[in-house]
Amino acid sequence: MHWPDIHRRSFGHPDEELVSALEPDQIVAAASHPLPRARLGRAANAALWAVRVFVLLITVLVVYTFFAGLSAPS
Amino acid sequence: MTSTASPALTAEDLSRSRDRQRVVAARSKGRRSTLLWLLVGPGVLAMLGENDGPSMLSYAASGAQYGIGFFLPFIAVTFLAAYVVQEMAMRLGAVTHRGYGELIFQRFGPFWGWLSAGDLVVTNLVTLVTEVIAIRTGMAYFGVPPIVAVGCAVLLVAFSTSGGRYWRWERLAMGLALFNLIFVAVAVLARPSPVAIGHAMATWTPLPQGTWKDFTMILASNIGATVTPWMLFFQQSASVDKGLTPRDIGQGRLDTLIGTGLAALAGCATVVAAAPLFTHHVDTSQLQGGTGFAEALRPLIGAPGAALFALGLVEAGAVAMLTISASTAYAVGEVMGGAGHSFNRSIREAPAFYAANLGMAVAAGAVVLIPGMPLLAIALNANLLATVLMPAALLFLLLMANDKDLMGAQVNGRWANGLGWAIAAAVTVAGAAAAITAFLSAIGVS
Repeated sequence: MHWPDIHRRSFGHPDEELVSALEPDQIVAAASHPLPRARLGRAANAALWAVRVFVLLITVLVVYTFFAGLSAPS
Repeated sequence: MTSTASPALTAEDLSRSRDRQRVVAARSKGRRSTLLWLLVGPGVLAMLGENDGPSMLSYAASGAQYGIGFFLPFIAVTFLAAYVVQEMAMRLGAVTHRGYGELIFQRFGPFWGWLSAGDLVVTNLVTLVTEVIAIRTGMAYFGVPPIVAVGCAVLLVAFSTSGGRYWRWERLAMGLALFNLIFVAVAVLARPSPVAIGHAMATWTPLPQGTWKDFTMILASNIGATVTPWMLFFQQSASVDKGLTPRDIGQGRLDTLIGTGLAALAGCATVVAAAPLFTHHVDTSQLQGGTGFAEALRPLIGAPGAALFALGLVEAGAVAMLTISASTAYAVGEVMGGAGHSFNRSIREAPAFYAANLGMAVAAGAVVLIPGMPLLAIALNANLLATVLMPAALLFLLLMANDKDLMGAQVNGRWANGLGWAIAAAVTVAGAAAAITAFLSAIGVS
């Protein structure tokens, strides 16, 4: 892992028996620690850019179609 | 005493740990059926929740326009595709203990986090409008006024969120979701030929006739009826809220598989139930609005079958109201950083989560009650909207499921990747084809 290894942290809470049913990183305080940004390769970056373009283009088409449908008699 | 260095334990932790204690006890005693009963939920709800109002109408339209030949096996295959991607979402939740929106926000940055959540809120609002329409339509068959039907839909969401426990919410939704199998009873009342069903499943024939535009639209609509962004957000976040861990992945897969089987059964049953309209050459072009399908089916399958169809629409809309509102609430809570996003929290502890949950239902209900709203156009575009937004959702899912830093030993295998990328490609092509076809039709180029 590249972020603090929260799996190994001891919380030392008095409700130990109750909490032992949970994994340490399942506890809200542990799960609230933000994860670091993903290190993306060239292919992943290209795919994300392709998705940006796809979403933009297709959204324009769908929104136009949607509003054209709204103005059509129902 | 609590150590000053220890993080505070919340009521959410305590509620979840009580549920987990039962899981640990069942596992240690080797009680497999109890373990499954305790761990089943997010998968069944994601799948049966997706058999929502517009989906059932889309399946019915497929059966009514084209018969069972192509669409029966096609729908079964789309559910298998749904299983592949939903299993990844469940696995991500069990391993990372973080929701889908939360992971996108943290791993890909605020731009993609907000965009994904924003997309989801818009799509979910449109979809929720269609759920309220389905409830209103189904209840109208029994003479219930629209205002009462809409009020019931909103009250159901309010009631479901009032318990402060994920377990209670999940079991309530699951109890309601099982009534999705009403459509199987309708299919039986339609007296289908088992030979014809077997032939259709084995050969995918007879192939649909008609225009390319109609076929493309209904194909995309059926894909949008089984593989959608809200399902990913919902199952991953619900798995986290339920407290699934990597040890529960086997049961999580079974949960997803059971949901897939039940939803595919109900979806295929709806195609079969509406097939008599195809056989008797009934014009189905105007049936998606009003109580069309139920009334059109009455002379062909009898009054009980038609009444059950209408009741099924109410159920489909009601379950989807719960699950889609919940997926919105999870997404909003997750991208808002410190805001609580769990049914194991009280309204005071997670105001944004509950406000998003109930607010979406109220907004959808209000839209349906506005006089003159073109509800048919909204209903027809809901699944299309989900289909065109799905490629981005699938890309993030696949990137995260292949992230070894995130998933460790639970990273995607070769089969999951092969199927996952093939599904993403198919959904992208179908979504683009449907959007372009609809656009060309809207500007008068056919």
